[in-house]
Amino acid sequence: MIQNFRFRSTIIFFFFTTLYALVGINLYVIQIKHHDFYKKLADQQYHVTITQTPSRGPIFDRTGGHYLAMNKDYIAAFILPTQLTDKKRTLHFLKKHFPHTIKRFAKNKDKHFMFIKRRLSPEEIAIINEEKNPDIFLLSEPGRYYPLASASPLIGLTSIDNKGLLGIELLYNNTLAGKPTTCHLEKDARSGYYYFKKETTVQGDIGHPLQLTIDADLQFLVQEAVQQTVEKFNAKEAAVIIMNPHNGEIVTMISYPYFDPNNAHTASSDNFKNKIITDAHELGSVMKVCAAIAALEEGVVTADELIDCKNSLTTQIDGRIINTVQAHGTIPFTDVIALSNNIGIAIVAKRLGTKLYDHYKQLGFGSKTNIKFPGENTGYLNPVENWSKQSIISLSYGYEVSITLLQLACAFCTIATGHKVIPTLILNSSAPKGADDKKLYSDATLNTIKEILEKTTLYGTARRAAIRGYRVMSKTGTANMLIDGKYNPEKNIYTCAGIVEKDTYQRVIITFVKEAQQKDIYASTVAVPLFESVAERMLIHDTIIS
Amino acid sequence: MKKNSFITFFITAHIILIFLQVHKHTLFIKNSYNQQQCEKKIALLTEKKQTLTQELSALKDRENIKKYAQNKLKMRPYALKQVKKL
Repeated sequence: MIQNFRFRSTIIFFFFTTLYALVGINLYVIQIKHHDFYKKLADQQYHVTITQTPSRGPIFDRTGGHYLAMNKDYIAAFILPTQLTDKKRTLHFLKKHFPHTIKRFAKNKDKHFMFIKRRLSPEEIAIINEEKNPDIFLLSEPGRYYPLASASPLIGLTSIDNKGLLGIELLYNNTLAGKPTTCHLEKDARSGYYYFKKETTVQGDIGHPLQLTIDADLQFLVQEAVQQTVEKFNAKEAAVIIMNPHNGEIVTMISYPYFDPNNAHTASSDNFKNKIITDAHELGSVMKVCAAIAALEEGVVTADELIDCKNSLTTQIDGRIINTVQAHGTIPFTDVIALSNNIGIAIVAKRLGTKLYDHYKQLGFGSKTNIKFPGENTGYLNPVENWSKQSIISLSYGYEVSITLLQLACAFCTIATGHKVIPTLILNSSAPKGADDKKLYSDATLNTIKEILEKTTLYGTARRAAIRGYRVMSKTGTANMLIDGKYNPEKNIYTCAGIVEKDTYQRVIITFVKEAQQKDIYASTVAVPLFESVAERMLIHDTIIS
Repeated sequence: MKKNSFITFFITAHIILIFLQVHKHTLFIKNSYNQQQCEKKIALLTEKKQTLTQELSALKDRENIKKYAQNKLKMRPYALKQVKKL
């Protein structure tokens, strides 16, 4: 009996000893021999590193109450090609509703993930939801929505991955996007959502909002006026810029045609450009103002001096033919500008010689304005060493010099205040902006040129820009476009640049229309009415009532 | 007797410390859970705010307001000369 008991005890002892030995060996294998492998496995289950991308900062207008760009979640659809449960059904659905994905599927059938389409329309989301296919998944992705389409060439847009591609979105991408934060999470093996411990390994930064100098309401009102003009004259392009000459703030900037930023894939790439900043033109007679201010400052002419304009539509100076739209006899210099006589301004410019180039340079032509906008054009100012006998004549009435509308606006800001102005689009930015302390022109010159411009509005080529109760100083320009090396009289650009003033209130307005379809029309019938309409809307909007 | 009291005290103190440690950890997990729930709520509210902001922005669409004012309210645009300073 005792022997039997001992035998059984020994068996049980050895059984348990073997069992413990097995457990011990197993523990050795797990804890010591394969320590690294199991540690890695456990780390994968318990420790997760995630990167949180902050939401992109919105863009506001100058009031801070209107969004120019805001965040919007878009829905994307995807499949897991290697894990399709009902391949036939899924492919049939894709072929029917998203045929473009079939080719991609053939290429990616061995991949673990494939987008069907990103940024789905509500109709496409409804179709997918209706199908109730377990192989098709929906994913929410951050994107942008732009409420004011007319600001699109300025604001730009983001890519499908929400990175700035154009305009302000590109220029201030780092500020708007912020920096992603990387966190280390300690979780239990089963919980997919909650964690025990969170440790920030890389501290990111939120996406900062941006406030522009653009006034959204005024932008809308001006856009309406631009659209009316384009429709009336069947023009190819048009643009308007309104600037505060005292601090360089751009209040409105319309470059027509613009693209729909919420359906950018349908737009022509040419419309992505902010042509006010990126395109330079020979603007014609509007440049006479710049030649005039140079002549007045250098003292080679006075406002009352009588200039012999030869009473002819065509004349020759130094063997060069000069044409003008209307013949005038001997008229005061003020009228040369007001009536826009090419012969008269060429005679005065001859007295200036190469100093005209220095003044054009001083007014900012041929160099960047410092707005730091992507794709800014410097324009072209023919250097003195390249001048022919024609150059001084051409430069006096706006040829051999191509400038952007922004450069023209800055030049008119200088006329308005006497200071060099750096245009800005960002409200309260730390970047240098506004008027330079140094006055570029004497008060006497500035007063004279303003009087000349006022007379241009009162009885000259810009008559229709006059607004009762306000001081409007403007100048027009009609220029033939240079096509294949030849000036084409059939294709013109029409410009009206001016200053609207009431007490201390001052705004510079530039209106521009390109290739109106009607024949024998001038800036006075195209760009000037637009100027007047824009100025009226602006004054009502800003409640500057006389 | 003193020895027994000391052992009892020693063991009790350790049990209390272990309990406190466990309690602390439980509290930490509980608060962490609450915090995560709050974070989730914030994310939901942010999303809701974003949707409402978009809806508000759509309602503020100037083109629609203009159409409403002109068609429904029979309002007309006015010229600068029609405006008088009182």
